[in-house]
Amino acid sequence: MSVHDKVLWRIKSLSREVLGKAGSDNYRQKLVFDLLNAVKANDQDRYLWILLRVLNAHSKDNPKTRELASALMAVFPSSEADFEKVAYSVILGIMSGGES
Amino acid sequence: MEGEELRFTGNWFIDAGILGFVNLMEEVYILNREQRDTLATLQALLSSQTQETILTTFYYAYIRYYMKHTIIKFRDKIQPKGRTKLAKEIARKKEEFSPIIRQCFQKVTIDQILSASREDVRKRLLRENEELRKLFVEYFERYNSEIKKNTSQNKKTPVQTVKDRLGIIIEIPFFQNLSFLNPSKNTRNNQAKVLKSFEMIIYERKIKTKGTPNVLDKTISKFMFAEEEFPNESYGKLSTLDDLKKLVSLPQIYLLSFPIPFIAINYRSYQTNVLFYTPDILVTYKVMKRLETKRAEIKNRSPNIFKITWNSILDELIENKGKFSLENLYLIEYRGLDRQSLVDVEYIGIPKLHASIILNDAIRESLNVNLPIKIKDKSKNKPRENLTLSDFEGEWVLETFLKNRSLFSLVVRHLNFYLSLGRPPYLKTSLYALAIDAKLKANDTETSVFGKSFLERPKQAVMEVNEYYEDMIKATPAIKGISESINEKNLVHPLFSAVRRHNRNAFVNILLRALLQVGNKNNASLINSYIFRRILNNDSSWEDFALALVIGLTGGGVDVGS
Repeated sequence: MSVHDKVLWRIKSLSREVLGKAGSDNYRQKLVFDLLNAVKANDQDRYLWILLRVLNAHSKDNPKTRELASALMAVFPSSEADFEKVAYSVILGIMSGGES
Repeated sequence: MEGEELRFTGNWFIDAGILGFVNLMEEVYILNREQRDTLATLQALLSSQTQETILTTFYYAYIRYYMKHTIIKFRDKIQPKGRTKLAKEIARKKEEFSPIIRQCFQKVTIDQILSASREDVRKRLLRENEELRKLFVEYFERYNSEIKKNTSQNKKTPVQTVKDRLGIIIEIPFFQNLSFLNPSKNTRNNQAKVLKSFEMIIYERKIKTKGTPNVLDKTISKFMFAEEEFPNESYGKLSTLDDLKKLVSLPQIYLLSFPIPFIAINYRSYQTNVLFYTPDILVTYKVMKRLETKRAEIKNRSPNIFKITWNSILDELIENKGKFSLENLYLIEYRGLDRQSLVDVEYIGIPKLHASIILNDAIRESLNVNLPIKIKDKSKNKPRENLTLSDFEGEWVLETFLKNRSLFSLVVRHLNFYLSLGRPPYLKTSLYALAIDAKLKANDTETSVFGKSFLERPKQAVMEVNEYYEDMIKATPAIKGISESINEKNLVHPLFSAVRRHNRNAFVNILLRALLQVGNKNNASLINSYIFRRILNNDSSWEDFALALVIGLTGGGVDVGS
């Protein structure tokens, strides 16, 4: 079953709150590049490894982090199409974090 | 027929004949109008006259109508060879013959025929036939040897055919199987027999001499099997003209009038015969009239008569009946006849959804554009910068839409073509086309026949198309605004290629990498949200929205022609 739109919205908004302001602009840019490479290669393991490492380093005490982690846990491992959607939702969330 | 109402039956084949009957009467007779329109006048005529009288008026009108069209055809067949003095003289003579035809076939006061018997009409037709023969032969016979040069050896020239072969000067390709039109029967000195044979068809309903006399088969209706090809009587009974009497009282005249309302138009490289049919005789009549006028207006200069046809229909329908008629409009089209079978018959309806979309003025105007897709004549080798719109071959967006073909692929072809020329593509038209395509794709995902899109009045469809369009039109300047900082030139082709390969992962990946370098956060945020809502969260039509971004990136904005 494909990932529900609402779940994607939730993942995007949580990613924004948790990682949108993590570290410097350069740090986030590097992070997004790494994540984009992983999605491009459809490498779910690597993608999760990078993401969880960042979550652990920057905001492990934040309740939103736990929420995001459990949302991700619910959808991983997933099909290629779903992985693409979830992965990009996280990336778009991070990228929109520095705004406003 | 007495008291019968002149209205459509709902059976389009008969209805085409009814309209043909109206056109026929109108072309041949001066109707006593008393300030009423043609349909009302004919209605009054049908109500007040006996069947016999109606049949007699039809008899005269039908033969006269086809005599006129046959002689015009023969005149057009005269094609002298070369540019000699004689050839020029023949061409001039042909021109001069037109007013003579008009003179010969001036409209007749219907009262003259109403009071005539069938014998009177026969005599009159025979007389007119001989006058016409004499006139044509006198006019062109002296050029026969010149005309012969351009005719294949075994064939007779039009002059010889009229002079020596034909009895009644009439050829109706559509009904070549009817006995009175048979070349072996319609011969010189057989004129009276031919007319009597036609009388048998219309007065007695005797279509054939062998088999079932009043059979409704291929002889009289090209959509049926021939009686000889229909041996499965245990499965179904052959229909006869009497069966059609449940619908109309004189089916034979309507069946014979079937080809008359079709208008021959040149479409691209071929000619086709079209009829726009709605279940309302008045609307159909008006639409076809308007079409006929437009065709006459643009006879020698139209690049795309099909565009004109649809335009005239839409104008008429929008002025009058709007949605109902448009939803029930059918385009009936055939290219011609091959061995007495219709070739390339098309029967196209406009779906409800399409009808509602097209009735929106802004959308219709945006789609009413020829989107250039290739160079007309590459052999000219014109430099790119000197190419003008007239050098391009386009596809009319409205036609693509009405024929239910993919608007997405049309926009792809247009963008591809314009990119190769280094020009900005049409923005408004392309975006509306993509928005509609997205809406149609969204509807396609519905699995049940009587789903939401069928039952709900499609008002919402227009709203949604506009909503998609608004989204696209906001995203395009946003991406154009950041095009410099993301090095758009290196980006357009990979993005376009990803869309064409339907590879969403590649598209989003490439675009996000580029967006990371953007300084303008507002624009980036707008595109970010657009990607999430319209591309990532949209499995059915993400390509349409992605292509809109590519168009924005190329700086689309020149909209010509709408």
